Amino acid sequence: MNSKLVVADPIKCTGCGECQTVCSLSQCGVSNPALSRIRIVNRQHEGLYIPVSCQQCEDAPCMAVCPKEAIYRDQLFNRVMINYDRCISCRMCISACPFGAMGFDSKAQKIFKCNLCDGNPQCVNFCYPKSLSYVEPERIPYSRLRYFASTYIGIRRSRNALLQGQ
Amino acid sequence: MALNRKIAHIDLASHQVEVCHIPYEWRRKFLSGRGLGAYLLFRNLTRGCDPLKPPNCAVISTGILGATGAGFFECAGVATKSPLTRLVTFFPVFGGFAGEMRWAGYDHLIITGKAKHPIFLCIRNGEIELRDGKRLTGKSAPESFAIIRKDLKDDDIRAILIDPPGEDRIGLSGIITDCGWSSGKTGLGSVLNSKNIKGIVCRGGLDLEVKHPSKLLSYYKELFDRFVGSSDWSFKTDPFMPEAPSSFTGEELIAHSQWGMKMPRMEINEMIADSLGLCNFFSSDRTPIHSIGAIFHNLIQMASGLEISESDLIDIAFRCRAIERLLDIRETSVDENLRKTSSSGIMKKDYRNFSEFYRENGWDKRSLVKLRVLKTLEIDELWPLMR
Repeated sequence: MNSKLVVADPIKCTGCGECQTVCSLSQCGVSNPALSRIRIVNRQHEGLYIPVSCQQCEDAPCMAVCPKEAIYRDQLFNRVMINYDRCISCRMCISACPFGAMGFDSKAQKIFKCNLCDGNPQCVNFCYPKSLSYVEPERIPYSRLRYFASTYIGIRRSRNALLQGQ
Repeated sequence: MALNRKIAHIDLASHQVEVCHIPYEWRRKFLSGRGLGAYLLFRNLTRGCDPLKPPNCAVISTGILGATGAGFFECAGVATKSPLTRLVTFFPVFGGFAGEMRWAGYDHLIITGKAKHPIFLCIRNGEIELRDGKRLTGKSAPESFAIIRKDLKDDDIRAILIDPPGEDRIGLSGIITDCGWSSGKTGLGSVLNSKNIKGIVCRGGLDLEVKHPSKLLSYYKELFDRFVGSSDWSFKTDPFMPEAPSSFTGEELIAHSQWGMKMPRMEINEMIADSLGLCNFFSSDRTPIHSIGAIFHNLIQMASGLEISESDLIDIAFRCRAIERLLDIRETSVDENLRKTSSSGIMKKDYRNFSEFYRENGWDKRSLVKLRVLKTLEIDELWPLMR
């Protein structure tokens, strides 16, 4: 069983949009950011770009709201999946999702959501600023922890150097 | 297909937009981007026109590989007659504009004439709208971008804009993109301002089909890892070419397959990269120049399904360079101002050096402007426009 998750760090995101192109290419075979499972919320005037994708919630609202029980939890990759044989495209899950991570393909008349690319997320592979990462849940805070530790050590070192200089 | 994008002729004087398909023949001869841009400029530019008068024409182009996942290597480009040098110019526009223009449905925008009042072009899902831009007069690029974004109520638009220096028609004024890239150097901003255009805004959601998506993605991943992932870009660590010749430089001259013209390999690679809609960095001196032909061939094949061999790519580079050179020769022969500057002062020495280079490699007026040569390059339909 694989319990890894895609985690986004908005501070590192540069808003290049490569993940959107790559996601639509690998999932649908066409390039179109509207079909991407991951979306960049563009707050350019504030200098912020926020990647949003399905968080694979433990108690998923989309799963709870589905009238046909077409959304289920796949234990193999610890993800929430859609059973298209049962899905009636009622779009209730879109209104229920608190992140807006569900999408609707108007051409195929189908709901879509992130499926973690069966354990090899392409958005993470192509994220060169390293904003997205695919990690175990217990390792999620590690990058921030390490960043804090390095700044702390840097301050300590410079302070020691100052004291020795005196 | 990655090739189903269109050309839009935008006549600002009559507010008419004419949309046409790009023939397969043009793709084979010029790819797109800079190459096809130069060809379209040749066909649409009025001979000997003043760069800041309505007859001048600006061609905005993107390449075949735009929006196929090339990401940070993508670029669009603007070809026009420059007010600074009074010769034909091409300058790349970086950022997300290229991809968004392809998603909006267009590869090339040909802009002619002059609008009656300041406007901005709004291109959404194949529809081109000329919107009122009086409020953008005198605003800087970020300010006018904020106004446009508020107007259209869309955060994801991409745009190229002009600045107050463009409005003052300064020869060095540039085009600024939404995220702050600037394309200056040859006065593109003043050319757009002379047409009363304050900006071009793109937003698109049209599907762009790719021939082999999974193959293309794994190939891009390999390339990006090499370019971006490794801090050491020397030849020795290049996984594609383990035995790189040590004496290899971009200065090496390559000859055309049928005719005696020569061109440095560096320039060929740059021309093809520009024609594909990739930035020049892709073919910079840090990357293995000798394997880049194969890379281009694979990328074109996977993205669009076109089979263009490496030798054909070299021929394409010669053809596109020849078109730009022919256009320069044509404009020089008509333009009195240009002849005056080129025969006096500091310009004279440079001019003489250039003429020597051109003469040695067959790019001068005497050996290039011949119907036989144009037939060899398969651009003889431009011959009537030369005279």
